[in-house]
Formats: sequence, C-alpha cells, structure tokens
Amino acid sequence: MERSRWLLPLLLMLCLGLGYTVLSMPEPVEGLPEMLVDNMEVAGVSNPVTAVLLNFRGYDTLLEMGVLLVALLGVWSLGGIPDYRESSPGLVLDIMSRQLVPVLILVAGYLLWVGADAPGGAFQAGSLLGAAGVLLLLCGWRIGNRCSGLPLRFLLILGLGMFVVAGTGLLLIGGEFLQYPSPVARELILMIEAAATLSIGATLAAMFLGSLPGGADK
Amino acid sequence: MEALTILNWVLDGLLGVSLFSLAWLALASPDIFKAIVLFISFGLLMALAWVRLNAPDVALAEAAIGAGLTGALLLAAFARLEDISIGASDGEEVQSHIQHDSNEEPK
Amino acid sequence: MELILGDVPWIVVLIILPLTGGMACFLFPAISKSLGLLTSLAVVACVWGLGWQLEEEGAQRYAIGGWGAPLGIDLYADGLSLLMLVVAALVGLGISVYSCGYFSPDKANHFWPLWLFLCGALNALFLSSDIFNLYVTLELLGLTAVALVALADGAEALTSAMRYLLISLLGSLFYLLGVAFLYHSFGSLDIAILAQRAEPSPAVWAAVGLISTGLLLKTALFPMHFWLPAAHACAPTPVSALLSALVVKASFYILLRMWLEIFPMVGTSFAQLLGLLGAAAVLWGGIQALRQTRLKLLIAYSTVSQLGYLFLAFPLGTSLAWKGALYMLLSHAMAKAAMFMAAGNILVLGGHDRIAELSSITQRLPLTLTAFTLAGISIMGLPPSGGFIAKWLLLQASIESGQWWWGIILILGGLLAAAYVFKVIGHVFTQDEPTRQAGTLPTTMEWSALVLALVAVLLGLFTSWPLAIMEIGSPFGTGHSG
Repeated sequence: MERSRWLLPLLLMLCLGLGYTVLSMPEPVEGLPEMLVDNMEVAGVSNPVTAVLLNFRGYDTLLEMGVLLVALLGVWSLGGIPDYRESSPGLVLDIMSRQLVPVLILVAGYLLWVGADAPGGAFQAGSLLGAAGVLLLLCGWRIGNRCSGLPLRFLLILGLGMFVVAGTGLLLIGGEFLQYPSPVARELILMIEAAATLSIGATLAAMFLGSLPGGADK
Repeated sequence: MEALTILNWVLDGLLGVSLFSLAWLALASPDIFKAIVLFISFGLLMALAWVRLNAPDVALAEAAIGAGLTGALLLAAFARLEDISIGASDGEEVQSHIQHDSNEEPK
Repeated sequence: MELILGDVPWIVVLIILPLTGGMACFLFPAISKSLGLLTSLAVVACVWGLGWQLEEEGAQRYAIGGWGAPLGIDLYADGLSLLMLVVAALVGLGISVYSCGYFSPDKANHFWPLWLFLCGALNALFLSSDIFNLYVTLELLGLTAVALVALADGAEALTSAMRYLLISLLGSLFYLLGVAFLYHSFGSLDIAILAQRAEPSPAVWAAVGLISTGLLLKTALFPMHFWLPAAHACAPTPVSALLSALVVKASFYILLRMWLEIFPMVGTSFAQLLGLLGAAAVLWGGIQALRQTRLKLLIAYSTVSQLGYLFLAFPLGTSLAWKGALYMLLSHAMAKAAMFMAAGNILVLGGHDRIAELSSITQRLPLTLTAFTLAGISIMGLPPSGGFIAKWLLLQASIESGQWWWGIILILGGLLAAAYVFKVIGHVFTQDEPTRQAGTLPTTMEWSALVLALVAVLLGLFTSWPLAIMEIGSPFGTGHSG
C-alpha cells in the first residue's frame, strides 16, 4: 500500500509526542478520590468502582446500556435470518458444556452479589452469562419460538428500562433524577445491577447468534 | 525490597513490550485466523496489565468481553467469510450478480 | 399551567423521552410508526417547555443524582444548547413525518428504534456539561448513525457504513485520550470547573490537539471529510438528511463548547488554522459538487462545503461571528434536510438520481421542485433566507475585525453554491414530457420537504427570535473570546 510509507513516521511522531506529554505531566491533583471516600457511606456500597458506576455517575451507565442495546439493534438490522434449527453437539463439547454452564451461571451470580464490596459487578457477571449463552448456542441449543418474540425483547431492554424506571420513579417521589435515598441505596443498586446483568447476558448471546455461520450443522 | 521493585520493573517492561508486539503482529499478519488468535492473546495480556494498574474490575471485564466474547464473535464472522468464499468459488456468477445489483441501485 | 411548566425538569424529560420511545418501538414493532411520530411531537413540545423555562429563569444547571460536579454529572442548558435542541427537534419532526411514508414495513421496524435512540443521544449531547459524558453520548450517536446508514441494501452502503464506523471510532478514541489528559491535569471532568482551573501546559496542549482532531474527524472538516460523501449519499434518504443536518453538527457543538469555555488560552494560531481549513472546505466542497453527476453525491459535497462556513467564525472570534456561524448551522440544517428529502422523492419516483436525466421525473413533482429551489436559495445565500442572514453576519464580523479575506471566501463560496444549485435546476426547468412511469408518492413526503424548505427561507425574515434564543445565559461571554 502506498499509504504505509508515511503512516509509520506519523505514528512514530504521535507516539513520541504522547510519550513526552505523559512523562512531563505533574502528579495528579488530589481532590476527587478524597471526595469519593467522604461520600462512600452515603453511596450504599463499599466498592468504589461500583459506587461510581452505579451511583455517582449512574447516568453514564444508563447511556452505556443504551449503547449495548443499539449495538444489538444494528446487528439485527443488517438482515440475515439466524439459524433456528436445533442440533446436537459432539461428545467433547457436550460433556464440557454440561460442566461449564452451571458453573458459569453460579459464578455470574456470585460476581453480581459480591460486586458491592469487592471487584465484580453487573458488567462482569453479565459477560459471564453471555459466555454461558454462547457456549449453549455453540452446542446447538436455540431459544424456543414462543420465547423469541416479546419475552426476548423484554429481557433485552430490561437493563436500560430498569435504570429509566428507577430514575423516573425517584424523580416522581421528590428527589432528583437517579437520586438514591441513602437507606435503600444498596438495595436499589442491587436491583438495577441484577436487571443489567440479565440484559447484558442476553444481549451478548443474541449478538453471537446474529452472526453464527450458516453452515454450522451440515 | 530492592529486588522486588526491580522485579516489578522487569515484569511491567515485559508486559508492555509483549502487548506492543502482539498488537503489531496481529495488525500486520496477512492470515486472518492468525490475527484473530493474536488478538485474543492480546486481550488476555491486557487483562494482566489492568491488574498491574490496580483495576481488577476492568481486568475481569476485559478478559471476559475483550478477549472472550470479541474473540468468539471474530471467529464466527471469519467462519462465515470462509463459507461465502467457498460458495463463491463454486458459483462465480453469484459474486458478479451481487456486484451488478449494487451498481444498478443508486440509493 | 405556569406552575406545571416551571416545575417539570424538562432537561431530564428531553433525554428520557426518546430513550423510552425507542425501547417501546423495539418492544412493539407493529405500532412503531405511530409511537415514533408521537415521540417526535412530544420532543418538540418538551423543547418548547424548556425554552419557556430558560426564558423565565435563565440558564439551568441540573445535578443528576443530587451529587453535583465534580463528584456527579451535571446537565446544563443555556441559549446555545436550546438552539441546538430546537434544530434537532424541528428537523427530527420533519424526518419522522417523511419516514412514515418512506420505509417498507420490515425496514421501518429497524428504523424507528434506531432513530429514536439517535434523537435521545442528540438531546443528551446538547445538554451535557461533563466531558466524559459527552464521550458516551458521542458513542451512542455514532453507533446509531452507522446502524442507520447500514439500513440501505447493497455493497456500497455497507462499505461506506464500515468506513464511517472506523473513522467515528478513531475520532472518539482521540477525544477520549484528550479527556484523560485534561482529567489528569485538573482533577475534574466538568466543563465549568475545568474552565476555572485550566492553565497552559504541555498536557493541555496535547489535550487540545487530540480533542480537536477527534471532533474534526467526526465533523468531516477538510481534509478529514473523505468518509462523508459516500456515507451520506448511500444511506436511505431520511438517514442522509439526519446525518447532514444533525449528526455532523453535534461534534461541532462540542468543539464550540470546549472552545468557548476551556481553550481560550490556546491563542490565535490554532483559530487561524481552523479558519484556513474551513475556507479550503468551502472551496473544495463546492468544486467537487460541481463535478458530480448524481444528485445525492452533489448534495453530500454541498454539505462538506457548507460545514466550512461554520469554521470561519473561529479566527473572527467575536460574538457576532459566533451568532453568524450558529445561524448558518440552523438554516443549513433545515435547507439540507429539505434538499435530501427532495432528492429522495425524485429517487423513489424515478428509480435513479442522475442529474442529466432528471427533467422528465421532476415534471410530475412540482412541490418537490419548489422545495429544492427554496432550499437552494438558502444554501446559495440569497435574500430572503436564513443562509443570507448568516453570511451577512459573518461578513459584518470579518469586516469589523479587519480580517476581510474571510469575506472573500464567503462570496466565492456563494458563487460556487449558485453554480451547482443552478446546475440541478437548469436540467430540471426544461419542457420535457412528464415520465409515464407508474407509481405515486405519498403526499406527506412532498409536504415535509416543502415545509422544511419554507422554514429555511422564513429564517431570513424572522431573525429576532433565533438571535434572542442564542443570548440566553450569554454563552459567548462579554462579546470577545480567544
């Protein structure tokens, strides 16, 4: 490609410039982490990452759930009818999935619960559920026709929907949008995270199905 | 304690160098399957880098989504590309038919 | 009534309403058309409510979650945001009406949720006061736009959508890197707090460069415009109108916001560079538009050209220049959407959009032709139209500040625009036999194009109202910036 002749020097210049900038930056201004620690009891959870994601900056997470949903909408809008035929897997995949899928679901539930106080949370648990879904799809499982219409769509919007409903409900009660009252903050966060976990898992698995190779079960 | 900090530096340096070289190899590789596999291993090393940066939550998410799910999606897409190219080499007129159609419809 | 209007937090409703509408359209595809139309109307009503609130109480700041910056995220509405919201709501309503007749039922099921999410992303972007939150809204906006472009069938549309996606992601990543540098340097992500704390340093210079590059990639300023013509021309018509009128303006809005609040210490050289690139865009886009043989590509290159005018305000820097640029943004949005809709009508009825052979089709579409001509008047900058007022303001600003050479660019750009608009109209006003092809066009499609074009022209007559909106909260400071 004739482009690559000036691409490499350009990248090198960019790297050097960024490197110089990073090395010349002074120590970060303290202010935000202290404010975080001060407000942690009001936040309801003791893991600072979960507190920021779900409480202080929950609006960002709301929009991110929207981004995930839009990604799936984009994949679905590209057309192509996914495989709705069931098939049975080979021996190794059969045994492995029988062991792995229950463990994945269990670990997902654990990560969701422990995310309030230790590393974990909705996105991590949701991705494990998604992985379980992908494994099942690879084994040839397909969702039944009754569940693939409205129930599946409901599950997909559950995360964003729960956020919006919680925020609007809190607004109507009398506070600001997404202002969790301190006594119930922990429970509210758990509820929103649970909905988000289910939603993320379903979205990731559905995205995988939307792009499965057509000749998978020849 | 001196030995520990030297060890830290060596580990971090190795991590950085291997991240960089994995990324470069993945982008420069002409074989798509090899590039995808290199990308998945890049994702796993990236998760290690997050742990070194004291961000275990991000490391969990990177390992699961960045390496795992994205890798699975890329492999599925690659398999589909293989199917299309196998199908096209059997029926050349299919490809030219698609080309002809897209020229006809200026949307 | 006033009590209700004053108490409702219209800022929040404006963001939540389209998101809820999008979810509802996704859940119930059978009624998505009516739900979509209803949501568009509701958004217009909410913008009116917010405007009333801003009139009464001045600029509004809303702390989500009750935390307040720098711990939480703030929403901020002043005259500038209100103007962008008005543009988005009005053009959005026109596009919703147009799309009711345009899409086939299975495409419509995909279109409505994506369009409503795009509407929500636009509203969230115009109201946000937090630079990381702006990144998230940019992502949502870019993703919905790409998915909408990919709704068109064919290899061309998919390739241009893929290119658009990659460029959009590259721009977002540059922007995010700049945000990271700013956060590390000043410890906050809120625009108002950054405006107080900002000082020059290598990190801030790097941040300015990175953020600007990222946003310029998304706004398709010359020379980073290469993805725009293909993406806007190959997309379905309502999507082309959306992209040209609203999506490229969103990243311009962010650049403007950062420029007015955080970047004033950068100095005049960068502003001159932006002005130079804008001038190049005006001339290059105009010349390329003249060379096109297909109508939608011509209109897309016209967008590249008109976007250059917006950047002429940076070297001028006075409050008058900013108002001129924003007036140009407003009238261009209306006129370009009308132009794309007119082109879409021609495409639907005739099956092709080759300019040389348009005369037979357009004989059957008098309303569409009128809409195209009126929109062309605004694009050319002839009186009476919004485009003329905008160019007049910019000309005045350039003469007042002594930089008369930008005025020459304005005049040259107007001549080029006249050339390519007349190229289309000339092919069309001939005494050809109207085509005997079968097929009808839903009248809503023709009328929505005409109404938007009329608004673009009326903006030339009723200028006091938009200019008054821009004053709320004095976003341009005391009249001089930079």
